[in-house]
Amino acid sequence: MRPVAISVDAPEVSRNLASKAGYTFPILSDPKTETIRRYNLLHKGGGPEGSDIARPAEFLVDSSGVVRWTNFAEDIRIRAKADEMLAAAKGLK
Amino acid sequence: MTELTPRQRNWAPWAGLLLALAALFSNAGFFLGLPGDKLIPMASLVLAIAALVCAVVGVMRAFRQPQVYGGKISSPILGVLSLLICALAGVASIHSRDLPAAGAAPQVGQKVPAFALADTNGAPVSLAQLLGKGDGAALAMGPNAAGSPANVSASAAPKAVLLIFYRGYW
Repeated sequence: MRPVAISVDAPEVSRNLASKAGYTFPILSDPKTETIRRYNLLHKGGGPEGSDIARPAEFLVDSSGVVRWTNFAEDIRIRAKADEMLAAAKGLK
Repeated sequence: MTELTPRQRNWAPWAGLLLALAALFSNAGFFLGLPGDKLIPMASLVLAIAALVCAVVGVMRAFRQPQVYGGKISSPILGVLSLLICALAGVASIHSRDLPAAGAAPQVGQKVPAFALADTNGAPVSLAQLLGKGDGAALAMGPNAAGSPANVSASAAPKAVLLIFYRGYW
């Protein structure tokens, strides 16, 4: 399973985050929220100074591009656990 | 008039303040990543209610039984402080639940929309590439992390891709 993170942060911001935290998975940048809108995940005005951001969401997508598992946080403090996501990935045949 | 019995310590407002602080700082529990973190909001609410009950008890003792309990000055101050801390915890809790519905987002069984977005080096990466189906299906992942292997060869298609949308501004 390949994790991929997406946010409105610019590539250099994500590069800083990745190097500080030691992340080696791809972190993609959607500053204009085009993909975030296409996925209907826009949190209008949810960011600093009323900027638009993504609401938290996780999708496990199989090799044919079909969603096999999702998680939509109802509270930004309660996120999907790594073991939940791994279990979902292991459940794929 | 002299008091025959020494006045008791009015501990309730202090307990209220401690409980209010516990309600606020229980949010730190979310950063520990413990399995039971879904219970934290409820625990915070219980702590906040207990804090306010203690604060009210403290003020009532100080003013209704001044011959028994002290704290006519300290209990209202501590009570207001506890109330403010609980209000802060409450606002933070409401704010963190203020998320748009995700009903229109891709659901299980649906195909996700395609995309191509810049990675940390500014190079465009498409969903097809991530799924191992892009042109040549070779996705060279840059050295995101200092000291990590420069190229994680991803030419082998992964079984699945986990798309993680997050709020950003880290």
